[in-house]
Amino acid sequence: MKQKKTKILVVDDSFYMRTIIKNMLLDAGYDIIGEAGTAAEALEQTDKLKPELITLDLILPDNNGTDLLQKLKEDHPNIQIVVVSAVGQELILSKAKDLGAADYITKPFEEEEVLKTIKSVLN
Amino acid sequence: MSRKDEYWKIFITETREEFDKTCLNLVEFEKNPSDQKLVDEVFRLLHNMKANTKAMGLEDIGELFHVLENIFSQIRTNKLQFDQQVAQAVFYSTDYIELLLGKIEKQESYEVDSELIENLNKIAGGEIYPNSYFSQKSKQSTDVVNITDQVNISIKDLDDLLNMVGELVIDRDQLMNIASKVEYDSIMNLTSHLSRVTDQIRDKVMDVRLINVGALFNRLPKIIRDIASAENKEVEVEITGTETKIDRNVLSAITDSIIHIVRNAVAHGIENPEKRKEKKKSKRGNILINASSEKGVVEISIKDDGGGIDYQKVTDKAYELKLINEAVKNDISKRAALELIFLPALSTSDKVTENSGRGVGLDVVKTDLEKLGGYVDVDSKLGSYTEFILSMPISIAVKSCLVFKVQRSNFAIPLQSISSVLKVPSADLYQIGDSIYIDYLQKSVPLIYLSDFLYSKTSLTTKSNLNRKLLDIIIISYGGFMTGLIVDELLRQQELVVKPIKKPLDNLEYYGGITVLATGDICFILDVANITKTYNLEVTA
Repeated sequence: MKQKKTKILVVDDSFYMRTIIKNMLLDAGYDIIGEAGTAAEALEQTDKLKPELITLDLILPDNNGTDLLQKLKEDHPNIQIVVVSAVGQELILSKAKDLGAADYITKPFEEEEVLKTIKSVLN
Repeated sequence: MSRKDEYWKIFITETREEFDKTCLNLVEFEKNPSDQKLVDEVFRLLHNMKANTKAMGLEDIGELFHVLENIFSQIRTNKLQFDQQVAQAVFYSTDYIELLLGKIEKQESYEVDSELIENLNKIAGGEIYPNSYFSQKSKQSTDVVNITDQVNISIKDLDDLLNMVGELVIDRDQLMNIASKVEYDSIMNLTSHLSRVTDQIRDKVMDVRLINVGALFNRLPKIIRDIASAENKEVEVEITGTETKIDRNVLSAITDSIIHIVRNAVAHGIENPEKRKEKKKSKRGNILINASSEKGVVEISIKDDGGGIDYQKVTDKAYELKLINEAVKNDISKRAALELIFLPALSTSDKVTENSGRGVGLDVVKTDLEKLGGYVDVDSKLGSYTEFILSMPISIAVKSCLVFKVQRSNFAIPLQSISSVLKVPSADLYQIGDSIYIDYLQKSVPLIYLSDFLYSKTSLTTKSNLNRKLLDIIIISYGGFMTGLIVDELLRQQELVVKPIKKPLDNLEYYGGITVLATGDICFILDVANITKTYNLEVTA
């Protein structure tokens, strides 16, 4: 039997960034079950699709900072959340960890680094 | 398109969009400096552009966005005011970025002024007053607006345009006809020029509607991956010919069919790894998808190295469902038996799917292709492979057709469906049962006398109906069947703008479209698929 694939939701307001992340994770054999570009979409998709892991951009048109992360963690404490954030957001990152983010990745990232982080979060 | 090219395209489009939005928001923000939403939005956009340019490897322009983001990070937390000095620096920077983006879009080399970044950093750090760098620079600055080379056209506009070109071509043809009768030099010259230009417009309009089949093909690996994973199968997919061009609407019309066949190939064709091992096949199944085009026809082939189709079982099932009689069952060729999987009754039967490994929904695939004037063909070897070949016109609207007369009306058949045109003495025809035949390429090809077929609703013609010595016969080929059509008079080969037949006439089963000829006469385009089907059912039933 083949291993069941981890279901991942990609949240980022940049289509370009989502495309890169999505392809990278697909190639690594993960199941990308959805994408979201806003906080509202992210909440809706999470309720509907029940991902096991979310890659989460913190700066979205309707979310600035850690509100969305907090809400996601409250509603779905078992979902692993990996924050994907651009450099310059170091302050927010430590807050994100306090709020239950499993780990974080800084944009721009190396493919290896992303896969390593996600793998270690899932183990 | 390679993945790198795809990323680049998305990056350019998105960055341009975000940058334009940023500039708009900045102008608004200058007017309403207390609007927190605007400053948050500017910050978010700068933040994205920074991350994306850096991810694209454009480090230095990324740095420029980074320092601007820092400035707005200060402004949104009220540590810095967007006053005249800061505004001057920011607007100078956006003008500067506009120039850079223009170069990046054209893939030209560029350099970012390190002095600019340095001075912006000073502003972000609070030391601005007075900053002579920006006041100097702003004086020299000229407004540059890069209007993009690309425009977006909706497919609706292109459809309208194509329709109008169609009308133009029809009018042109009629005008040419009139001009040739008038024999007036200046009119002749003018119409022949008009004719050339009309052709060029038509070709151009058709061209801009073409896209790469990659637009669909690039989505297939993910779909295959998902089904394979759900079915616990391992599948390798190889895709070639992604740059093959096809009309956007044609591609859109066949998308579901392609996905359907691919789905079937993974779910029912490819065996699971254990079974493949038993059969001494590689553990991973293979699916080859290819597109190619020739002479206005695009061919897409989807081949899997799975279990293949058991055509004996298909035949038995068809017999059981009374789709074929016993004589046909005992005498059916492999090819004709494989064709049976496209019959609605068979293709919706789950049992057949389980037993033969294929079938569900293939009737829909066939109908969809026929609507486009295309067809689907299947080849398979039990135990080793199944290949579906979908053939369709590059474009729907204009077709090269052969125009002919039956009784007093004009008809046409797309050249794509014609194998050959023959002139034969009626003595060469022979009769078996209710049908007449002719030998063509060492095969017995059944003949339809269109005058009888179209006007008296029967395909049963006896040799005695044909009182001419020499007969014009068009051999049409559809789905592996060849059929000869006896016509009354061959006219010419012509590019026709085929219009769909609208209600309430859309149920005329033998007609696939309609057009107006240069003479102003109406011409029906025959539906080769339906004629072949009707005829072959009448013969085999």
